[in-house]
Amino acid sequence: MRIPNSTIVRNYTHTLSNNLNRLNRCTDQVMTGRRFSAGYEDPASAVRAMNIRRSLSRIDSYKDNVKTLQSKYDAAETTLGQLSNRCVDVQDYFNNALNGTNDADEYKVFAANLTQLRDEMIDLINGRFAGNYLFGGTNVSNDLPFQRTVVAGSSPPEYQLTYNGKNIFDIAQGDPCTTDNTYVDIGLDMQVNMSTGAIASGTAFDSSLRAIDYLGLGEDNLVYILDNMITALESGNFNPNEHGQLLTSFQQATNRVNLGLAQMGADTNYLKYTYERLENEEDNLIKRQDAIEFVNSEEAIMSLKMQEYVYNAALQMGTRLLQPSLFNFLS
Amino acid sequence: MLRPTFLSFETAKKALSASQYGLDTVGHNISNVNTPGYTRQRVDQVSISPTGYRSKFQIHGSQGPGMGSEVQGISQVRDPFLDNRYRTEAANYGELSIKSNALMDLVSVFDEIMKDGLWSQFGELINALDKFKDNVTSEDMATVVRNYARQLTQVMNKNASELETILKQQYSDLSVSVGDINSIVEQVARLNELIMEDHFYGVPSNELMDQRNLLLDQLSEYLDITVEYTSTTVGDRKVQQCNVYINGLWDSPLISSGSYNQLKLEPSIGDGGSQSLNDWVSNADGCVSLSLIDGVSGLAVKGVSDLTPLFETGQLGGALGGYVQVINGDGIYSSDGSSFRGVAYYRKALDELAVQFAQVMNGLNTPSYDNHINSCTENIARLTEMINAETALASPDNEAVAQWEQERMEYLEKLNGFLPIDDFSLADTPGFDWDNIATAGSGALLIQNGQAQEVVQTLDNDGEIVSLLLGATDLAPELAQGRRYLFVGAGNDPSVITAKTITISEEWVKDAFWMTTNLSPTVDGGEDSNHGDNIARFYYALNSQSYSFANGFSGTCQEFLVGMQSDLSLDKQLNNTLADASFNVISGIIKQRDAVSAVSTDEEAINMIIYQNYYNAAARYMTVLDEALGTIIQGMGVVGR
Repeated sequence: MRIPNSTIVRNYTHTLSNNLNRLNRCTDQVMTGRRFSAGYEDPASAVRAMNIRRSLSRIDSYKDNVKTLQSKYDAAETTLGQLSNRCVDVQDYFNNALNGTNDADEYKVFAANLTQLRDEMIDLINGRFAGNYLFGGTNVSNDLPFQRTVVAGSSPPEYQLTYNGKNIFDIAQGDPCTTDNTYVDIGLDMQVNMSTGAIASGTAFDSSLRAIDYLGLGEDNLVYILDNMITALESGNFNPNEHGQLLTSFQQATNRVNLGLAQMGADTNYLKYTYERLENEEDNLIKRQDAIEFVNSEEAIMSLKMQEYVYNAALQMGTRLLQPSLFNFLS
Repeated sequence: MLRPTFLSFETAKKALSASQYGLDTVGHNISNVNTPGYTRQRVDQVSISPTGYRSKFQIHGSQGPGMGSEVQGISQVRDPFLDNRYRTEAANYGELSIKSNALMDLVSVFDEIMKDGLWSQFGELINALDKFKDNVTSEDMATVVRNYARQLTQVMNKNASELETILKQQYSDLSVSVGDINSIVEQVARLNELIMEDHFYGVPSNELMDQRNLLLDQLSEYLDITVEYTSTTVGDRKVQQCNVYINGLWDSPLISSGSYNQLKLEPSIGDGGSQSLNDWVSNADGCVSLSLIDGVSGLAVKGVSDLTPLFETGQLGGALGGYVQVINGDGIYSSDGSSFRGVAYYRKALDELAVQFAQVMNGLNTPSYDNHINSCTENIARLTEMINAETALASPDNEAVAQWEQERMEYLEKLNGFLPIDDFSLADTPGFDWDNIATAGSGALLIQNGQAQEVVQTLDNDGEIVSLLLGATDLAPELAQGRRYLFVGAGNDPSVITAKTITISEEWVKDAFWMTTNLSPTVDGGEDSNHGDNIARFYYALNSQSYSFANGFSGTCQEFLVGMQSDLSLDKQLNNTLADASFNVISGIIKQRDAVSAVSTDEEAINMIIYQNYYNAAARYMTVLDEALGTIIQGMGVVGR
């Protein structure tokens, strides 16, 4: 085959430009640490990379949600703990009232102490976290969730206990305000019924805490019993035998608080494990992302060096490209 | 047998002249070693037979030696087969490299491997909704969600304008190419005339043919062409004629000897006529059309409908085919669903995403409207069923009838709550004869002025009410009035959404809480309850809910975008591979062509030495003849003097 001058030059230019392209790609890889810098360089990996990025972004969000929940539950646990302590105090006072020989004035002093404790307990149960009520169910910023108010038009003043505006005697088990929920997505594949907006329980975490779950409804209500204790002590005819029953009721009500506290401990644990699970998942995803999106830097530098060497060799060839022709030897 | 005395001088002279031609040609070749399109030339030398060979008065048996050599002409060393191969492959490569450039532009719009784009914006919005869902009373969160929604629409707008810029660029490149093609075609036709003329007078015209071949090579990058050489008789001489066809258009040659056609480019919308460029670019149906017109008269030779589809379907390649496919190619949205995924495809896909997204979000933001639709549909179905059941009651069973009536009343009242009915009365008005309703059609439910009226509801694919006819009255507009739109198109109009114009509604701009946060009534009756079940729907709709798109894709909005990017990546990768392969083929052909036609300096040096020696030899021959003749003239007959 004839090899004319133009073929030699064209071949050389072509090879040199190919080499330069490859060198450029290697340089990019070393500089960015990335295996590819656009989808078309590796379409299959690019799609996987996008899915991993999405999962990572979601996990980040889930982790944030769990962190917020943990803080809220810590606050709630502390508050319930304090409530429980107050309950012990109430029992002590009332025990003293029942067992000692006290006169009417002393009963009044007990009553005053219990009143103080009751108000503290109501304040505690209406406590806020990050500006939102802790124990109001879905009520986070309206009127105080748990209130002790005067019944309108009653004389002498009669008091009623309300939860989210409803008298605790009017709330039946299963009433909407005992089941309202605030579901938080913590990465359990949350399912929403698109026509009703209902979130399938078990696919998300219900973070709604309701005061009445811990205080009880109707006659079982902790504050209601406490009110009765105070009324009995103030009445002037306090009779340990007759009113001893109240202590038993109160102890039962206290149990509900402690049960709630235990349940909350379980929830806090669950959140902790969830957080750990999310972190594990995140670690795995980052490892996969590394493998898919990023180059091993040693390999990248090695191939850069190799490519550099090839390119230099090609450049050196350039000086030998135009060999003398027969003309140079004619005399 | 007689030998003419001076015949050999003629032979020697011819030899001298032939070697000089040889040297001249070597000089010409060396001079043009770097001239683009130059084909090496060689001297066409033939030997001359002895005088009188086959002549009338030839003396038999007197054949002497030949009369030396003659230069018949200077010709090119060129292989037309390689030219054809080159031109076929050049068209292929031209098409691929245009597509490759356009795909690269599209990659820079949509690819999110190195930068954040629409896909990331969806992610941000989803994360913001997730937070908002758990804290629907917070104005901060509401504002954050609104900002992300606005950013998302802005990125969408930006992508849509980038696509328009690409389209404008492609169109301008295409019109430059068409101009170039037309100019080349005209030049080739002129050269055809000149070459024919030269051939007629016996001039080899090598340089003009080089020029023509170079122009045809250029043309072949733009168009799939076939070059055909025929011989034709002019006067009493045969001359070569060159015709050029666009492949497949055999009945109307692009160039036929000296006459030619020209390509005409027009922007059009759909199948309509030409449009102003700005209108054209902003219309999603904008495409280009090509027709063939006579080069002189400008009359149509091949219409738009004949020519354009050939380019659109990729039947005709070349850079021109590449441009048309890039501009017109709407992939799955085309009538046969298989055209190239060009700018048109991505514009339509983006528009579809914008409309789908807006529809979902707007629908979710007016849950009562959804309820309207569901309840209307449900109640109408139930009532119809009951009416049919009642008319089917064989014997009047008072108890059963009473039960039906009561249940029917309940349903009618429910329906009454949803339908804005003022001038309609419920069918159960006292004294109304239920038996009559059967005659008014199975859907008849309500009466107007004592007449039973049929309720006919028409929904579109997205579950939106198109019309709700009560007799002759359409209640749909009235129903739509209570809708709360989050996303709108130009002029705050929710019915004209495109990717270019989508934006958040004026109402949302004014009120961060324009998003409906609660679907079911709140438990405590408070307006700022943290129930947030409707935000959960928004969140779920974007995060997990699958939607069916017209391009056959089914998935979330984010998955739609990943799918789009993946399509683009695969197209680009495939195109790159094909372009590389085509480039290699072309390189091979060029190498082969060079091997035949290009100048090699070594070879020329050898030729030069040969011709020089040839010249020396011829000169020596002349000297010998001279001396021989001198012997006769000066040396003979001296003895008798």
